[in-house]
Amino acid sequence: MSDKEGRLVIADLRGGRNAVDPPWLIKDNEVADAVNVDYWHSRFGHKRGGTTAIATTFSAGGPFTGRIYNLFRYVPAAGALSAELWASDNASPPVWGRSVAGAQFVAPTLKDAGTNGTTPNTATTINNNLFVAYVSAVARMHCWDGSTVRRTGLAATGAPTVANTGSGSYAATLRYYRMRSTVQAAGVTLLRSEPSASVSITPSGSGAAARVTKATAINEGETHWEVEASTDNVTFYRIATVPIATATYDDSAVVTSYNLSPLSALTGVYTLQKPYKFVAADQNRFLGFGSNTSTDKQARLEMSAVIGSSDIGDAERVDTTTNYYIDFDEADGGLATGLAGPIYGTFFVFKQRQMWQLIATGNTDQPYQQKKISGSVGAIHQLACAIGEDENGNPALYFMSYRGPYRWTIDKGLQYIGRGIEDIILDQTTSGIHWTSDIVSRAVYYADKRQAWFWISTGVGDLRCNQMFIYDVIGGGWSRVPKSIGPARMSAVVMYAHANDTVNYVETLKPFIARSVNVGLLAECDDSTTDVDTGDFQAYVTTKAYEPGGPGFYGSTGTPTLLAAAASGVTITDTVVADFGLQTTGASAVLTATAAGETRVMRQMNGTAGDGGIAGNVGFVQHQIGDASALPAAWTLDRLIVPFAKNQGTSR
Amino acid sequence: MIRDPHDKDRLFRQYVRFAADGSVASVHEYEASAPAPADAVEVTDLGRQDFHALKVTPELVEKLHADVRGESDVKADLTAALAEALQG
Repeated sequence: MSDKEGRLVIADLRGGRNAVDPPWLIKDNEVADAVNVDYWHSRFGHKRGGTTAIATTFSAGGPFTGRIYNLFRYVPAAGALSAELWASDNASPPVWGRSVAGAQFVAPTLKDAGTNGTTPNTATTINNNLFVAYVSAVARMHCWDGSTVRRTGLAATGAPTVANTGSGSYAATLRYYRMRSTVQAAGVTLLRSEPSASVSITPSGSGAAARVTKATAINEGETHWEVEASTDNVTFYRIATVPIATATYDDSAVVTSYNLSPLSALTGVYTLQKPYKFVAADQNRFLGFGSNTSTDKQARLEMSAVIGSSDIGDAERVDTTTNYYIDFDEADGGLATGLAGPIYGTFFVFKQRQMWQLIATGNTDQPYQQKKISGSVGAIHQLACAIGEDENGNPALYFMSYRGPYRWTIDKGLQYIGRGIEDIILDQTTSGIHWTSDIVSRAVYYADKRQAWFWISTGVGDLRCNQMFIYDVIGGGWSRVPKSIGPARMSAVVMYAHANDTVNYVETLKPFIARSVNVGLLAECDDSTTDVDTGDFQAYVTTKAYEPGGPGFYGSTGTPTLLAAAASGVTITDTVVADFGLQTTGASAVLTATAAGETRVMRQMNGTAGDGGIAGNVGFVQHQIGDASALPAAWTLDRLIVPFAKNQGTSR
Repeated sequence: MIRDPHDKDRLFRQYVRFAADGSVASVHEYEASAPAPADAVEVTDLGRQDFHALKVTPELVEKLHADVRGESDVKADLTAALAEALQG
């Protein structure tokens, strides 16, 4: 083929996918489609990694009998080397497992079994405990304390009973008794309940003491009970602490000495936490939003006591004697959907159609000032929010809303970032987001590659996420993973350490997903060249429609030249499409290095698939470049140079 | 002294009372300025401990209960016995 007059250089496609605007009108750094690629260490396109199955066998308890619906990473105080992967499935009751530092799963002991495995759980770590918000038959918050997933706080008992005991001359003076349950370790009180109702007695005057008998145990791990006494049924004093195994306490003290004992805490200081739907930790406070009890306020955020304020179950109690909650338009703006943060010292509260910012005040009487960021944009779910960074490294919050993906940063505020994938997410005909899905959307931030990964569920009958999108933070471009392929079809995701990590790489976190169509199948993403369950996959980018002759003129193109990272045995195919499908021709090149040490290869694409030339008069030309079909190849492309020539005008 | 987290302006001393078998029946805190109860032994200086798990000899407890004025040396003996039990 004769030489052409010009050279089209396609080198920077980091603007990513834009399938919304006409393919000839998109920016030069955008592409009409980017499938199974990302922009990691490449401005043109890098084939995404595959997925590898992670063993989910149990050494005790289990196995998973349903599809895994919830994944959490729990880092105890011992540090990242002891990080645990938590998973639960959608069996009835759900099967839970925890894997410590890559070991086999062990079923944790649950005080209260879950009753709904399909409801997404949220979790957070605070004060070395993993707080998990899940649905159980007991309307309480739960936490893992290293040995049991137990209820947080301690419930109040019924009232104790009291009677005369012994013989003597114990004064016949009216007094009141009540009790609290506590958990002690080495003499230090760690948890305390609210007081029981009180009971009164006027001793006979001929007894030795008033015998207080504790109420029925609450069976929440309590080790002791406290006897509180009062002369007026208003002001109570803690007159004794008794082991839980001892059922009675004999009070032989004169009532005038009660006030020598510590004053009882105000009623309300040890209020139990609700079965919150969404949980998060903000510095030394535990935050709970919404409730699995339908009669509770659903748009209420409750705050725990500040850790360190008494060191008695601070993260597990709500002090209702002070400002402990904030309501967010209870009946407006849709359902509560989550908490996210902190970013620059602020937290975010989401409803379906609202976004609120919580600004810490530093004042314990009014811990937060709330500010409504948007009355129309909210997040789909807390698990569809991900904290990451923007292109400059500043903290950023990424989330999927009912109107596509958004980002919030301190300097730019709320930003819509979903233009390039609107054709899929906001498709209003058949394949847009399926709002009634079990799992509508999920998101994680893949820090090592500076990518935000989003999933959505599309189409009737797809009950879990089945489409995936990768947002390249540095370039601001999108790529996608097609419906149901590999990591696209999932029911849960978490960032967790690489399965083969040694000590040195324990902080290298990768997305781990649960494949939603397979029982108990976990997979590590970005870890091979094929996908678990669905096998090899095809990756490619489809360029914008270039006009080789320029607007108003026909043109022709020649054999492209490809610059790419050397990859032994990998064939890259360029399908050249002229005039939006009117003509198609192929081109290919093999990326095998010619000499040892050659890191990049420049290849004319005149291989077995053809030479890619379009000799006739064409108006527009697009290049779909990458795998010809589903292949187990890994590649990184740098640049494509296409010779072109201007021919006659399209009209005279 | 012990400072109650809910009442930080008040200081307390800690005492234990014994069951007849020598086990610790209950733990108490009384204002630091209050006189020591006759039938209880102060354990403030032993620090926060799980006193309920400790046991002394019934004979010492019997002596304590017999000494209604609380003036004998048995209290010191009991405190020493508790300290020894803590170490043991």
